[in-house]
Amino acid sequence: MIDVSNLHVTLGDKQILKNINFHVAPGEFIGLIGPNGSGKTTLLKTIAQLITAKEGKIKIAGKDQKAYSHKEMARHLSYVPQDTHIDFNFNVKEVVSMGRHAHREFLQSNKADEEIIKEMMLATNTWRFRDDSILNLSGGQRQLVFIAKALAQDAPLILLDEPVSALDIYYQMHILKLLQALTSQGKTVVTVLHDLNLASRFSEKLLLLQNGEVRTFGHSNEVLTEKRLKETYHIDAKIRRDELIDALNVTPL
Amino acid sequence: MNKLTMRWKRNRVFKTTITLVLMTIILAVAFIVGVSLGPISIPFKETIMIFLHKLQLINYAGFTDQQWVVITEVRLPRVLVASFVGAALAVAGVAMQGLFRNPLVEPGYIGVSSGAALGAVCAIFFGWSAINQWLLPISAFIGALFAMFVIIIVWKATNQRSIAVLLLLGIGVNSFFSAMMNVLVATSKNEQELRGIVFWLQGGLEARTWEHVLIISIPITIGIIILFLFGSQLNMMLLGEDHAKTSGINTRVTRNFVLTIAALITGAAVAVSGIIGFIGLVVPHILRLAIGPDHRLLLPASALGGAAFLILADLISRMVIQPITLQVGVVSALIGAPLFVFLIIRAYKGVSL
Repeated sequence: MIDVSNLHVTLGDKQILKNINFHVAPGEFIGLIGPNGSGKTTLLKTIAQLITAKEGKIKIAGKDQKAYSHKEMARHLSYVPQDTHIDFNFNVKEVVSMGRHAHREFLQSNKADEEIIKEMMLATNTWRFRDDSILNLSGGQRQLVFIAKALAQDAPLILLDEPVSALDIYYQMHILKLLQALTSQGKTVVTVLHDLNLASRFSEKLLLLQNGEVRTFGHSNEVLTEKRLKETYHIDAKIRRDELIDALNVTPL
Repeated sequence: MNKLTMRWKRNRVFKTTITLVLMTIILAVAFIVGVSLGPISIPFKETIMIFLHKLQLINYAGFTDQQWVVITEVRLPRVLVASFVGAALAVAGVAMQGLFRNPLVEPGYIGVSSGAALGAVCAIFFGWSAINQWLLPISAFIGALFAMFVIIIVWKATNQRSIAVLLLLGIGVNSFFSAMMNVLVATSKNEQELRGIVFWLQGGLEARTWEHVLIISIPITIGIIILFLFGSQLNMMLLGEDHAKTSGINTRVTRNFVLTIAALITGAAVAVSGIIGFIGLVVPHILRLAIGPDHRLLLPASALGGAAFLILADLISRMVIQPITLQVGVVSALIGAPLFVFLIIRAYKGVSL
């Protein structure tokens, strides 16, 4: 689904990403982890073509990302940014409907659009405040709305930057389980997650970034080791297997 | 929530129809009142009959020659110019506010109006306007486009492509163009030329003729219709560059194209009426409060609202302190500025704009 080779990204004079290489297969759930400033958001934005790489190549679904038109690209990938700030008084359903732009022909909106919008709003539990102004929502509710918008876009690849950062524990589980269910239907999910326990629980693979380089990419067993957490995050942590959910649990000491 | 508000919120066709019908009625009333009232007032019924006669829809002869001349030669072109200018400035305002994601932007803010004004002043200063009547508006178009291109090019050269940078650039461009105009006024060679420039700079809608209507109607009508087609793109630009791009909008092309068209209609408006402020700000604001930010509806509603607003402002300017005629820009500012302050206070109290 994603092929990144020899990727270098600079912003201003600063090199943010150095020689990134990795491959994501369709249907995978990838957790993007790393300390603050390690380049997670930049990597996600470069894949979404919001930042132009200085060097290197990114292929989406086997085709160079530069070969896509904007609309084609939006039919292949959707993106949930970290910042959900908005100043204008749209209602919630209007915002979610904007996710359908790439599927619409000129001046036309169809029934299938309405169906998927409703489906995704119900799935994210945002349908109940569909008529409310986006400005009257809490940060967490707004985050849910933008996730609904990205899902309504119905692209095979979904990129999310900290999608659960503003959500309470119920919705953290709800959204991550929803994304997991989507991967079993064949969608590919790449998401930045700060919470290592959530990352290890839901991701099939973890991509650990450090200082703009890929430190490790693999199953959580290989990535989350006490030694590596010490080297990247500079923390002393104990790692145990949580039998209840069959996932690694990181406890910083 | 009762049934009607529910329908208003959920049914876009219903909301669009109600809004546009209402705005059309407001514009029609403003139009008839604007043409009827003045130093020589003509009954509304008479005015409507003369309209219909002029349009050759009916054959009517119950009017005096004076009434006919006042309406068809004096007021009709003036009110038509007011409609086109008002519509153009309001629509350009909406488009720019959408692109810059700031409800306080106006064509004047980013230097487009003063670019157009400089173009027009150049046409008078170098005597082009005496060669051909089309050279003044063309020169205003070029001035507006030039301002737009300077802003876009400098903006692109900066690393940080933020909206704040763009607006600050506009301030710089504005002061530069005003300075250039002052240079031209100061070095003007003869009395007559100076008077021409000053008269033009004051702006306003006095003594507008069918020639003026002809000059601006085509570019403004085409420009506004093209901008109407960008409604959903502008909606998505409001969510921010990242959202718009990943939802399938070519943000660069959309921005450049929309700004060019906005510059074009602003240039056309400035060419016949000088700089009239606040319309591009106030009309979209009021409408946004009433109907929300959806550009698919906001753009056409603003065109109708801007036209009605300027007709009424012009009417006030010639009726309130008779026989003195105020500049229409003065009236627009008298209504617009307090409203603007009020809106800012509202915004800072945490109520959305």
